[in-house]
Amino acid sequence: MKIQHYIAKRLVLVAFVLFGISVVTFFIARVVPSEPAARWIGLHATAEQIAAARIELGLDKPLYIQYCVYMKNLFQGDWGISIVTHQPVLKDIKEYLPASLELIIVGMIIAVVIGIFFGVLSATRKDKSIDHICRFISIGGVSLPTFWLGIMLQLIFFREMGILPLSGRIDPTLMFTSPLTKVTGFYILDSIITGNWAAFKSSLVHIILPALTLSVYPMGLVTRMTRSSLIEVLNEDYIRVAKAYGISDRLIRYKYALKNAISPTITVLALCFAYTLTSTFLIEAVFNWPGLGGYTSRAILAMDYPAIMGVTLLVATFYVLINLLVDLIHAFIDPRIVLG
Amino acid sequence: MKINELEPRIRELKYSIHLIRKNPLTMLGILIILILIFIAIFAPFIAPYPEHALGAVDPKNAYNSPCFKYPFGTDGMGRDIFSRIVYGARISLKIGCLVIFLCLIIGSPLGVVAGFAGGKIDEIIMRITDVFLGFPPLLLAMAISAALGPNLVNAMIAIAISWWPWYTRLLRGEAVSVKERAFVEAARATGVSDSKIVFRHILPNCLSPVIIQASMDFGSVILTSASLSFLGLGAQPPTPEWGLMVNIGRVYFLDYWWSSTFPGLAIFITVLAFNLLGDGLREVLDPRTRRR
Amino acid sequence: MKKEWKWMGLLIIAVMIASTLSGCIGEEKPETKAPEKPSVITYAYTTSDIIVFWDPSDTYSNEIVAMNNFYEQLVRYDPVKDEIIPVLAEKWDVSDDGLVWTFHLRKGVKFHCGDEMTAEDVKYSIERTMKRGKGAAYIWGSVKQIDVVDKYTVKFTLDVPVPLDLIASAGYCAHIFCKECTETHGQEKGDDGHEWFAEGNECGTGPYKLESYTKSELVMTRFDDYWKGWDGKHFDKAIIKSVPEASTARMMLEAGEVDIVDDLPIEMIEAVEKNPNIEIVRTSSFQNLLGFLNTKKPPLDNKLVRQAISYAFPYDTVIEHIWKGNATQSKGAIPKGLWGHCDTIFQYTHNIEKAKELLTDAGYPDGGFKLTLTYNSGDENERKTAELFKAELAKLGIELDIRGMPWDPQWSLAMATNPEDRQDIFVMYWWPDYPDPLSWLLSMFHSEEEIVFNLSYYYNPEVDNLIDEASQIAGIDRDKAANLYCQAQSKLVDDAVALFIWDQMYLRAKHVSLKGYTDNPAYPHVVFFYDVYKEE
Repeated sequence: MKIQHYIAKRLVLVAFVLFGISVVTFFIARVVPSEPAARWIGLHATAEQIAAARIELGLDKPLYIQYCVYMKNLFQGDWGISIVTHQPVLKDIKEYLPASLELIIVGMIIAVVIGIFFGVLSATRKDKSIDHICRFISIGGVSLPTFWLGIMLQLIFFREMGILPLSGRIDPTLMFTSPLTKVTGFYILDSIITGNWAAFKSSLVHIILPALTLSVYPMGLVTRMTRSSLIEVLNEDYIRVAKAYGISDRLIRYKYALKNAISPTITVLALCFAYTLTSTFLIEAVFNWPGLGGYTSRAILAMDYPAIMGVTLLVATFYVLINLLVDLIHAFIDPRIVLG
Repeated sequence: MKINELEPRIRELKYSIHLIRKNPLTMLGILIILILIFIAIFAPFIAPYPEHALGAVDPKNAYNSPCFKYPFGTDGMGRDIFSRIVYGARISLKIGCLVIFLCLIIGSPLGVVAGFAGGKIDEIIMRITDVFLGFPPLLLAMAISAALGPNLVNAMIAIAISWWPWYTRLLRGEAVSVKERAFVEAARATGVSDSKIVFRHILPNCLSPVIIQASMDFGSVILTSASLSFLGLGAQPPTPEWGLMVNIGRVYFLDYWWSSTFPGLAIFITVLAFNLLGDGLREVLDPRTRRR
Repeated sequence: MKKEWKWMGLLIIAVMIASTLSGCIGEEKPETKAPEKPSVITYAYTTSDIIVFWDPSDTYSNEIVAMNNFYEQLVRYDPVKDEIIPVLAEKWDVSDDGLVWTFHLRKGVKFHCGDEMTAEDVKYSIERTMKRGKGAAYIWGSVKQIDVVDKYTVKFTLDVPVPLDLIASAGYCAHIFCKECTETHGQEKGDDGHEWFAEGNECGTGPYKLESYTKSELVMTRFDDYWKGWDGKHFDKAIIKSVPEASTARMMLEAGEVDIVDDLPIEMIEAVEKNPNIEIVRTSSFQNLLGFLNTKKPPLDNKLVRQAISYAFPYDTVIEHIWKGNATQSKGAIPKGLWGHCDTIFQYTHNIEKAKELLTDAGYPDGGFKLTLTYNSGDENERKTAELFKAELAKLGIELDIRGMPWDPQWSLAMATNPEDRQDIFVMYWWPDYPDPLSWLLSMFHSEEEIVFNLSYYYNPEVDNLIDEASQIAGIDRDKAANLYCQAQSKLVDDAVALFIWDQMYLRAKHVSLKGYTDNPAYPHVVFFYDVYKEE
């Protein structure tokens, strides 16, 4: 099977999966005995107002028609209006997305750097005490309840030691002394672009704890993955040959072995990314981080179906596309997989 | 047929156990799990204030810091946190068992059938599985739980619904590789019916990855359930579910640090134990399946 | 070997940088502000959405805190003195039959867009609100006609003598906005101006106008042509910050980053009170908590059972433990401090023996049944109340299943077609849209054809008549109306239609340097920024 066929086939699959997700989500959100019209109107509404709102929101039509209307609007760029915020869902998403992305990116960088470091350390000293310690750390990492870890870090670094802030993205008083102009929505990037040193320091400091909390789970996975694949590779014949030829350990480790060990790590990273997308619900709740996770939690709690649909479809698309990308990279590295 | 298979299997089992015992981390995991089961069974005797886990309140004693009388302190309603954690063990184990059980009975047959049957049936089942796998993990469980009405039972159903596809995919993969094997061909050739092949030959041979997955998932299920409760989509007060306890304690944790710390610690240790077990099992079982 | 140490080294350096940076946090909180900075008041609002409805005809939610600074009403209500204060209307008179109200407007009041406020604007604003029929618009339901008598005089003709002055003081849907602006922008968009408002615009007469708005904060700046003028001490800017997390809000308050917080849990109030820079303002509010009992579902369809559980409720413990005394047990449906509150009504007390007696009379000597209670998930106070109640009912052999639900599902459940499918006890707060007992009695205890807020599903023609009669005369003879409301409430209490739990106080934590602040419970959570100032 040629690469093009493979890609085409996978894309069709992606479309199907997303369609399936949209149907499932829509029905979950709408089948619930809930009265979105009431939420839309406000808490002390009268019966007539609710009835009017229901018609306005199109809730009086049968379910499958509502679905079709929603999907049609979606493809035209209208993602509906959030029942809770009364703003267009797309606008809400645009507003909250950069915060989450910034957090995830920083968290993933920390996870990868430290994870690979520990993984290599562990693999090259297999079965020694360092190995056991690293393995314990990595398994511990994936066992930690994210929300609990966040709370504990707040307790230690904010309450007890007072060196890191409790929550938020940036020091609020900066709005007067050194306001940050938003270019991309990524505070760290924006403060560098606009040369705002105070904002840079503050946003960096505010992201430490949440990013650290976020990184722990992927770090554990990366460590373990790096370790196991590196061990496998180190046992391969060509490595032994290289050693026999007297090539230095360090060179072997980083140039030959690690490169080959990276492949499964990439798969893991994709899984991590997906995991962190949803893990942000918990972290954003704990650190009052104004991101997509918090928005989604509120939407789910209020059964705000346009918002739920919008976010789910967005995140699922990301997720599915990343999986596809990873598979493609694998196919590129080892075309045999595709032919299978 | 069975007698021939039995002896080498027992030998393998003994060897597996030996390998497990060699690994200190795995043994640690097993130890913790055994302690947990013990605590769950004997909760009424271990907990100093069992009534606090069952709905009684004692408002005058709210927010006592950890001391001899209340080893982990008391919460906002004056209940002993230690007792509630002890009873919470029962709940956590129950959640893990139920969800994994549901996943297994839904996911496994689907996976095995898909792998064995191939063709159209395989396509249909796998596409449905793909749809469910396309959901970002926690999101589906949250949505279903919110839709059904947040309480513990619905949360368990929600988690099971979002989790079963993993088992289907896993088992399908295994079934596909097993069905190519010689003894299956032989069984087919001698005219054994399909369903017999599936249940007596294929399914038992697919078990080891499932066991590894299930034991690792046990921890993840408890974690997911705690996360749902933390977000308000799981257990309801006054159930002494660990995630719920962390959530409730969080509002005041800056002043009363014990209210969230200990329940969270309980979650961590439990999940850790199952992950250690699963990891150890994987070390033991995986190379062996490859060797076969 | 060396390469690992290199990584280690990098890690250590990274940690060192981080700690140096964090060591700089201390410098980020200036004690004194830069000289040219405008004087600002910052209000931490513990909600995730500051503004839900931008359209002044539709307001019904969190935005009340902003709307009452952008816009003004004809009058304002002072509950302490039980007085109506003239705002946009200087004076008003009412005909003897109570059906014609004439408001004489203040001259020279400017809108933020520059136009002068006239009777046309008043007529336009109220009519538009009535026509749109959203939010609290129903309060104008008795207005038959609005006439512009002259440039500064408006005449309202009613079909029922309701207290129009109270209605016009409402915090929602009673604001006057600029007809010119709204119509012009409406023409551009082809609607009644709604879309222009919804994009984030305002056009009121209030002291502050909109400077900028994001999800996390709303910035207002002084409107120089405000009719009251700017003599004396006033803030140049006002900021409302969305701070959904109470612990964050508390931290910001203690650090001096915000001046006042709308709501903190009681434990935090106690902790924060110890801080010499913080003081707590306690005010009786018009907000109370009720637990509606499902009178159509056994066993609560039996009056004796309802009375029994009314005696089983731990009122004192709830007030003591949850509120630390900052609340009072409700007497009847109307909160203390509002006219129509009846001091002579019977009040149930926590008495397990009496409860047992009543249960035995009803045929349940050992309880033996289960009740479902729903409350608003996320509300700590409601949750604790439910848990305390559960423990008490257990003493009677009654199992209480408590369920925290988000508002929509909770309400949907209450509206299920079959009464048996609904909850037994529905816990809910209530506060009035305008200061009138009718808000409770009409909405929640009058029989309704379709279920909205009568969540006890109580249909008693006697009570209906009392309510209807009182509402007819409230505009003319308030005392008589109050008396009728009293009688209605007695019936409700006797029939134990709901658990009348507590009348709460609003506890606002604020910086001691913020002066001039009084909490007006008729405008819940509103800080009238014009009235406050800072004094170190």
